[in-house]
Amino acid sequence: MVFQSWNFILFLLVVVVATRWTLPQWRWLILLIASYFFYSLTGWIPLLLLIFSTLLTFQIGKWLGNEKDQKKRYRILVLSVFIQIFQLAVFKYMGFFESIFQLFSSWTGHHQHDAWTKLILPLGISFYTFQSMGYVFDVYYKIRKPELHLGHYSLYVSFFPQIQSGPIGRSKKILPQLSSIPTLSDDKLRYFTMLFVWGLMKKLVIADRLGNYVDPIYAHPQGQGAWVWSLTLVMYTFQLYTDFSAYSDMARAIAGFVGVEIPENFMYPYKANNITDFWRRWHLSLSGWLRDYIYTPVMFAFKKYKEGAIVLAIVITFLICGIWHGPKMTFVIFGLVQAILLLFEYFTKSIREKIQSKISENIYQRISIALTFLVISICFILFRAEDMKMVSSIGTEILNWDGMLLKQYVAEKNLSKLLGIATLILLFVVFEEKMEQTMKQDGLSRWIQMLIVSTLLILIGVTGVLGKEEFIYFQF
Amino acid sequence: MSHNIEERVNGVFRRIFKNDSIQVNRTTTAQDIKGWDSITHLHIISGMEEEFSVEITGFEVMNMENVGDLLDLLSDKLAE
Repeated sequence: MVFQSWNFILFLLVVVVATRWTLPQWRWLILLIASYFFYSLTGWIPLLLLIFSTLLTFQIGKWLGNEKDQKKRYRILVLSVFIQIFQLAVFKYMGFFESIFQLFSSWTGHHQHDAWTKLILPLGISFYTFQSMGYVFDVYYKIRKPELHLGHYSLYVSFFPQIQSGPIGRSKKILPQLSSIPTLSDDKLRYFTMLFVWGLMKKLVIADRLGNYVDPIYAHPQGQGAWVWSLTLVMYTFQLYTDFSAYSDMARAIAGFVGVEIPENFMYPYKANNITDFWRRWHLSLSGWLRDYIYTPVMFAFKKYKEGAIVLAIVITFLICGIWHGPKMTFVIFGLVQAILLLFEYFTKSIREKIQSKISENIYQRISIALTFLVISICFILFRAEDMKMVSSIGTEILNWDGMLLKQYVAEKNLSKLLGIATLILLFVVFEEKMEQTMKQDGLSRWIQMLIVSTLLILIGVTGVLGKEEFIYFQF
Repeated sequence: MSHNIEERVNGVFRRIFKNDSIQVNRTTTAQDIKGWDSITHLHIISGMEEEFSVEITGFEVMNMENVGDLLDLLSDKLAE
């Protein structure tokens, strides 16, 4: 059930009304029932798996809380991480391992059956696994005490606005909210309404429209030429961002409607002036998780190797980041490329600072932002392509600067429609931050709030692309 | 004693950030000093280890939220 469906809106209305009629200290129960109902729509096996993960990490948290011996605590942590990774590996990555086995078996002449690839992929498994694993890490590092209320903890793991695609919540921020969930104030109701409609607009007006241009090119990557591919790369870069940030805004708004605040996931990533900066602005809940639970512990565990520790931490973190996205070699390479780019930036920092000091700050920043966008757009080929074969054929296409192919594309797609898309992207780039900051303003007049919501709704009604349902990040 | 620790900690911060005007206090966090990222954090911790001849583990680093936590940790280690 996607956020932009009528079924979901109806479900949300029932949940909002039911929570309003319940005492704050019992609202967790309504939300837990709603979350399990919501998740059970994906199947009983995924729900049982979710409950298993919840019970396991809840119990692990209690053991970690009771155990004083640090060595035993470490063993409990390793056991928990091992079971959770194993669960993730079985349901999400077995097809990947099988494809490697099949490659070997084709060399040796043995035939493998494909039973594993027939296993269902439970929706949101990567997200709730990381969220519950984060809680275990927090208790292990004594960042928080173990949660003693199973109901609150179960809701923390299964909370329906987050479970499909995050944002990955942190136990220290979310769990304390669940014991007594406040009634939504009118100010917040209006803010979350604007945020929801803003997300809906990004999804239906921008992301899905861009998808209509991007998908056919990725379906037939050959014979398009460099010009068409350049346009497609730019469009996909915006499609991915507007799609995922739309989902994240809507998830935050929905959580807000039922009285729970969840973290923001983006901070204008295409304003980043280098790749390091990009990862401080993109998918914040995942990058923050990786920073705190992988990167920092690895770096400090090997700190005696000085720069070696930094190299190792970056490579391991971004390999995990790549693999987390899915069982495909393209994601592994994506992670590795990010690691190489970050290391390049680390080792050239002083040279870049010297260049920066010699030219105008304004020009340097603009060039840096443009270059970062270009690099990210190219990297996203790995994110979107089906396999490495497709990546290599796109690479070949990008060397073919035949202007005729662009002419054909423009004729086929209609110049005015393409200019419309370009205008849409430009307007979004110019007004995105201003719009979001305006919505956040305290004491914003009700008339302006109504104007924002009605304008966005009119925009959706007139120009929204209806019919596409899934968000890109549901596959992860 | 604790005043002395604070001064030495501040000295390490000034050395790492190459900025003599830096003045940290117990509530200072990474958000308060420009350029205090995860790699600089590693240099700060290594700098503290050298300055105070102590070893700070990854586990201890994970618990630090601000300079106050770092000062408490150093005081505990020096008292051992």
